[in-house]
Parts: sequence; C-alpha cells; structure tokens
Amino acid sequence: MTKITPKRHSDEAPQLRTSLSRKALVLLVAIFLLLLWVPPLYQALAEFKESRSVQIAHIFTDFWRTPQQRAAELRELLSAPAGEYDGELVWLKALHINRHHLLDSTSAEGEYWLSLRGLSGSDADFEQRRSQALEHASVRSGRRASLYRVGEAFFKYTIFSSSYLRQWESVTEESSKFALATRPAMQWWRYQLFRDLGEKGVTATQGDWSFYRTGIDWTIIDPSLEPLPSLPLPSIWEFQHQLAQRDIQLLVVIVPNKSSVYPDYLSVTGEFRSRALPYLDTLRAQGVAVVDLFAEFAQARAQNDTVPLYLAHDTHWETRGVKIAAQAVAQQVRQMLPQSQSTEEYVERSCKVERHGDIIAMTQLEQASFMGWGLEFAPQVVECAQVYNLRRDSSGAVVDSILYKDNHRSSEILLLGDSFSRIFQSDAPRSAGLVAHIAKELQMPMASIVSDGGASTLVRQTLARRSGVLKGKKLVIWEFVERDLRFGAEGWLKVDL
Amino acid sequence: MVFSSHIFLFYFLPLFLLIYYALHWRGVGIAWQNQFITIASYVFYGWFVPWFVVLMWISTIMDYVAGRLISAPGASKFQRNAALTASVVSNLAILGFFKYYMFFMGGLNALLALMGLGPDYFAIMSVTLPIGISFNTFQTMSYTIDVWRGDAPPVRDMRTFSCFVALFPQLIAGPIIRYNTVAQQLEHRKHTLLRFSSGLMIFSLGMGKKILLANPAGQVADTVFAAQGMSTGVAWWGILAYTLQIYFDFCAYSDMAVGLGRMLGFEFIRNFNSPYRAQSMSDFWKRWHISLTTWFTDYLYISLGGNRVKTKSRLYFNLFIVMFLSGLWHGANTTFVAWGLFHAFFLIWERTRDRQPIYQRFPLVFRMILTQITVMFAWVLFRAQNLGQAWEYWRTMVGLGTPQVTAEMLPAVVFNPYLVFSILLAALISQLPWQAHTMSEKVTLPRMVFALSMLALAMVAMFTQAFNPFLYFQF
Repeated sequence: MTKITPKRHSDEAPQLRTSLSRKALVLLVAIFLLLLWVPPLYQALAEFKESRSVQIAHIFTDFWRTPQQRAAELRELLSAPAGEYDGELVWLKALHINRHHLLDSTSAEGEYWLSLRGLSGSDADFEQRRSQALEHASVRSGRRASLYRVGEAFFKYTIFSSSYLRQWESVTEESSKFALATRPAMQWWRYQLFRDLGEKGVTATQGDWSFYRTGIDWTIIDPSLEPLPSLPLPSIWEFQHQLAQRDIQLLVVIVPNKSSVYPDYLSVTGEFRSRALPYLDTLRAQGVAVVDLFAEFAQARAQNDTVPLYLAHDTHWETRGVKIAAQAVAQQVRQMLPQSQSTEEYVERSCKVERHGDIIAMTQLEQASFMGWGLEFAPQVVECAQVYNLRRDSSGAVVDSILYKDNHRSSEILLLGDSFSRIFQSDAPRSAGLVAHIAKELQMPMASIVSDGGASTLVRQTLARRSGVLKGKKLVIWEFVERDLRFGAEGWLKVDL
Repeated sequence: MVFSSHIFLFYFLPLFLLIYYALHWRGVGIAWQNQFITIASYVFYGWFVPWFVVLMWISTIMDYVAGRLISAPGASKFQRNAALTASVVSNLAILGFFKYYMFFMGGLNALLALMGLGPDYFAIMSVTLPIGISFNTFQTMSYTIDVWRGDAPPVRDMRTFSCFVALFPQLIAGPIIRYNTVAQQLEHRKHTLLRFSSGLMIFSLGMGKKILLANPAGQVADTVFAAQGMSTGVAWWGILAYTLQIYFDFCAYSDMAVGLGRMLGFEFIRNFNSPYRAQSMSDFWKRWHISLTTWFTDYLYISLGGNRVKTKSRLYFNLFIVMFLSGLWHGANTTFVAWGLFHAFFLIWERTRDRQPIYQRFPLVFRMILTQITVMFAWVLFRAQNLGQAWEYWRTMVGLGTPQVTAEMLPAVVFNPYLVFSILLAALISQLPWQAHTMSEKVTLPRMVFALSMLALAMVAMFTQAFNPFLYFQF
C-alpha cells in the first residue's frame, strides 16, 4: 500500500510575522483576555456587593433549587388568610414566581390558571378550592412529591432542555451589570452623533419628535408577505357574542398610532391611509360598534395643528388627544345607552407633569451618564387635566372634591384598555387619562381593566378570571392601539368568559 | 451558541481558553487536548438543541467506521466502495431528511392539489433543522471520500476524528474544512504566542465586522424586504444593505472561526477574498465562500468530468449541475435554487466567452460595478421569501414597481444617519484590497490596537442590539 501524505499545513497557511517583542505580545494577549473577563468579573463583584447568589452558577443548581423555591413561595402565597385573599393578585404573583423560575408565561398560565381561577372572592368553599389549587400547583410537601419534582426538574431546568437554556441565557444577558452600566452611554453617543434612537425608536424627519418603531413596522410590514400570526376579527366577534349573551354591548375603540396621525413627520407626502381602517370598516359592516379616532384626529389636526395630539418622545397621546378621544367615545356611548343617566358630577382641573417619554426610556437615554458628564435628557412638561368628583350637600354647595376613581359596583360601563388608558390615569398626575375623561364627559362612573400592550388578549383573560366585574354592566368599551392588531401581547386568542 | 453572544464571549470562550491552555502547559498529550475540544464543542453545539449532539455522534461513528473499512488492510474493492456508498448515502439521507423533507413534501402536496387531490394530501410532520447541518455533513463526507481516494490517511484514534467532526470554531457556519487539510494539525500542532496573537486579532476584527457593520445593514435589509411598494431608491438601498449584510455576516463568522482556530493552533482555509472586488461572475466565485466552491469543485465538478470533457455542452451541463446543487445546498426553497441557476446562467455565458464577461473591455471600475450589480440582482433571489416577491423587487429596482403610501415611511427608518454611516462604511471596507485575513498575517502594534479597539467597541455596541442574527446558521 502506498504511503499517503496529507496536505501539509504549510501548503495553505500564511506565514505569520510580527514586529513586536514577546513582552508586547503578552501584554496585548492579556488585554484581550481582560476584555473578555471584564463583564463577568464586574458581574461577580456586583453580585458579591449585593450579597446575591451568582446568576451564572444557577445553571448548575436550578434543577434542584427551582422546584424547591417555587414550591415554598407558592405555598406561602396560597396560605394567606382568606380575608386577605385576592385571586387576581395571587394569580399574578404565581405568574411572577414562575417567570422568576424560568418557566415561560404560557406554561405558567396553563399550570395555574385552572387551579387558581376559582379562588377569587370569599366563597364558602374557599378552603376546598385552595386545597385543590395547592394540589394542581403540585406544591404539596412530602418526599414522593419532592422526588418527582426533582426528577421532572432535571429535564426542565438543566442543560438538557433547550427552552431552559434559552431562558437562562436570556436572564443572564438581561441581568448583566456591565451591559446595564454601559448601554445608556452608548445609546447617548449614538443619539448625539447620529440622532439615532436604537432599534426601538425612529427620529422624525421634521420637528424634535420620535416615533415608536413597532408602530411604524405595523404600517410598513406588508401583510401579504408576513401574515398576522393570529387574526383579530374572529376574537372580536366572539367577544361581542359572549357579551351579547349577558345583554352587554361592545364598543371597539382602535387608537391610531402616532405615525398614522402624523405621517408627514416621517416624510409621507401622499394621502395616508392606516392599515387599521379596513378593520374598522369590516367591524362596522358586521354590526360591531366602533369609534373612528382616525377621522377625529385628522379633523382635529386640520382645525388646529399647533397643539399636538401626541407627546413628543412618547408613543402615547397628549392631553388634547385624550380629550378628543373621550369626547368621541362618550358621544357613541350616549347613542348606545340612551336610557342611562348622569349620576356623578365630575370637573377637571389643570396641572403639570414632566415626562421623558417612553421611547426615550426604552433607549435608556434618560439614564445616560458618562464619566460624570451631564448627559441628562430634558423631560417634556405636559399640561394635564385631572378629573375630580364633586360632592355637594343638600343645599348644593360643594363640600368635597376627590380625584376620580373607578367604581366597579355602580358603573354600567367597563373599559378594557392598554397603556393609552393607563397614561395620566394611573401614571402621574393620576385621574387625567382616558377613563377619567370619558367619565367626565358622561358624568357617569366607570370601571376599567388595563394591561400595557395586552389589550388584545390579556385584558380579556383578566376579565375572565374576574367575571364578577361584568355584573350590572351594560357596555364594554374595548380600547387598543392599532399596532396591536399585529403585535399585541399573546396575539388574539379566543378567551372563554 | 453564537460567537457574538454574551454567553460565548464572556463565559464559554474565556473558560475554554483557560482550561485548554492549562492542559497544554501541564504537558497533557494532544489526544487529550483534542478530547477536551470535542467535549467543549458538544456543549457549544448542544446549546441550540441538546439532543442534536446525538445526531452528531451517529454521524461521527458512521464515518469513522466507514473510514476504517475503506482503509482496512486487504480491503476488497467491493468493501471499499460499499463503505464509501454507505457513508455518502447516510450523510445525504440525514441532510435530506432534516433539510429537504418538508420542502419536497410541500411540493408534492402542491402537485397533488393541482391534480385535484386536496391541498394537504400527505400530512407533513414538522422537522427542526439542526444548526449548520449542511456544513457538518459536507465536512464529514469529505473525510470518507478523501480516504477512499487515497488523499488522506485514515484516522486511527476515535478521539481525533470526533474532534475533527465537532471542532466548534467552524462547526456551524464553516469554513468547510477538509480532513486532509487538518489531519496533521490534529496530531501535531504548534501553539505559539504569535499564532495566538494573530488569532485574537482576526477574531476581534471579525467581531467588529459582525456587530458594527453586518447588524446595522441587516436592520435595513430586513425592514425593506418586509415591505412592498417602496420607491426604486429604497429598493436599491435595501439590496445594497443585504449585499453588505450577507458578506460581513458570513465573512465575520469565517474570520472569527479562523481566529479561534489559530488560538488553538489550527489553520483553516480562507473563505473570502474581497468578493465585491470581482470583475466577473467567474471571478466572484473564486472569491466568495471559497471553502464551498472548492468542495464542489473537488468532489462534484471534477467527478463529473470537470473541464476535461469532450463537448462544450457537457461542460456547461456540469456547471449547471454544480450551481443548481449549490443553490439547493443553501436552503430548501425555490428562491435558493433560482439563485443557483441565475449564477449558473452567467457562469456558462462567461464560459462561452473564454471566462470573460460581456463588459470585459470596459475600464476596471466599470467591470467591478457591473459585476456587483449582477450579484445584487442575484441576492434578491436569495433574500426574498418567494419568487413572486423577488420578481416584484426586481421590477421595483428597474423602476417598474407600484409605489404605496405606506412605504413612504421607509426612508425615515432606513436612511437613519447611523444606518447610512454604517452601510457606507461597510461598502467602503468591502472595496479595500486588504482584509482582516491579510492584516492578521503580520502582527504589529497599530493593527493590534485597532483590532482590540474594534472588539471593545463591538462589545459595548452589542449590548444595545437586540437584532443579532447569524445568517448562515440556517444553512
């Protein structure tokens, strides 16, 4: 047999050369290794200072630690006295515990939903239900249960599970102290040099404004190339049907993206038509009541374009936008509930609040600091209109005025909404948001369930868990921003009420 | 694991280097060093889907046994051929099942639907594509073919062969290394300070290319290709961005692979040689994805007869087959096949003209620009989701598109000054005659300072990027 000579290394290898001494090379290699070690060392020091366990080491301990901790925390949570019990709160805490222990929200929901949904209120069979919940959540103590949990956890919380690895990696990246420390400064420099707002913001082509990238993506992404992951209309129709069975009407309010109201700030010169408008037309044609805020805002801009409808560096609306939306919604509500009478007296009082804007917050520009240089990003001063509830004595004199508050018991109207219902309402200055202003327009109390970015599905899931909220209601206003037709959290799932 | 990820950069790599060199300095034998590389490579590969490591074991054992059977003393011709056939068929079967099963079944269902047999005649199960399977399969196949041809000695030690198959620096996206090019290095390789320094230099430059150039270009490309009805200018900007993204993304990965290889004492093949300075399509293929081109040339084109065929038509047919399979190798989609055939058309055309493009008499700059434009038209096929989108995109590029108002927002997003700066810088760098590979051949202070600065900048920039894909992982 002939001897085979493999291709020599030197046949293709370049001849490496250097003009540096050995010491210089050692120094440069040390710098390289130091660069790689800085983030983990920084992390270890920070965790040591905070007396926290080392995040990176969790990969070796999670399979044992996670089920134990999860069980202990849930046991503690569920053993609260009945009087202090709030099913909704428990569910959210359970969800938090699961997220903390690297379970994704969907599985957390699947695991706990059935066991915890029946726990709201102060039912007579509370203890029995709690016992069932404990069993479902497999948090009962006992050796057998523990062994089973550890065995199960071995395939759930170790390197044998792809989803565990993804989540562990994600938690490790998100909690990187070095990344958190350097990111704002890097963003700030990018903004100073290029007016660049990173991946989440887009700078306006005119004026000192910024836009939320996801909102623009809603307009840009062609549905024929990237179809919606789940279709909104069937979920909306089903929800309407579920409410109709309870003699409750539905009013859908799609809030325009800032970019749909101000397309000219993004160089659009043609006649812009939002992708949400066909949805409004279809809903109308199918007998679902809607409020067309696109037309309202276009008209408002045509009448007066000096007072903005949206905040400069925020995805949300300004006070003027809130008021116009509240007026339009109230007008539609009056048509849908002609018999309903005003029962409260609400007035508004102006106040001022400072906001950096959520787009700036997302890019972390407002946190930027670099070697002590003044890198503060100036906040916007917003004039708000807080709504107060007036109380009068028998003579008609005002004896008290308190900030608007939801009234779940006496309200005939429930609003399900997203952050557009949250801004100025539960945020500073409080009681100056959409809900308060609809109440003021109608002079009627309101009830609301609000979830940031979750108006597509999460609010309905919350409503399903608190179905008692629908008692005495005649109308549900469902507010969501148009971009959620594609990007709503959890999509547009069908939810059983 | 992705090279440009937090976990790889700050945990896996430093820890790996620490242990590897600790073993080396303690005088542990090369076989055990290889063993350590193999275990680390399994962790690296299994990080995506842990159970895919089992698939790698199967492939390793299969090809190792085939190699032993082929090279066994006194092995008959039949035994040698049967072992080779078994190795090639099983490798292609694995590749075919994981990569093309869904594509072909989908196509079959579409065909049956045309015959009126319903839209989903066959139920198609969902198959997860193991990362880098195309690279991996070609690499292991090269071993048995080389041993069969007598171009490489058979491996005697299973640990050495496992290391060759799993070698993490180039495991997922190449360059495709051939056994006969690393056979000696697997058993005797030099670890020198200069080699390590050169490796870290090219690794750092690769990291800079990926984070600072490829990712911003990718943001623009993804945005434009998700839209329709854009202006002609935006369409050109979008395809320029993709052209630069795919080059810097893939080239960066190759640079990092070469750099990591050098740090461990290996020398891998150079995968790119300024492809966007090519003056013809034939020239482009000498500069682009060199390890794949040489693989196809050595194992397919030459096997088909190569240039030494009797008729011109047979030569063109060979070129056609190679480019068709090259397209299919990239992905299970008609767009990739069309991309391969597009290149085949131009390569055959140039072959009819003695390997010269029709614009051969133009000045150098124009030859480069025209070649570049042809390559960009081909990239449209590569990037589009389907042929319909590619056709529309081409129409828009030549001014026949139908603009939509919704697409008027695109310029505000894709002409952001940061993105414009990054793309123009990337375009400029792509035209430079010296690249990271050549830079790393001579380690000087300014070059090292530049490379380490790029690494530091890329690290900090990486913290601000959520968008950080590696394009060639899907292949």
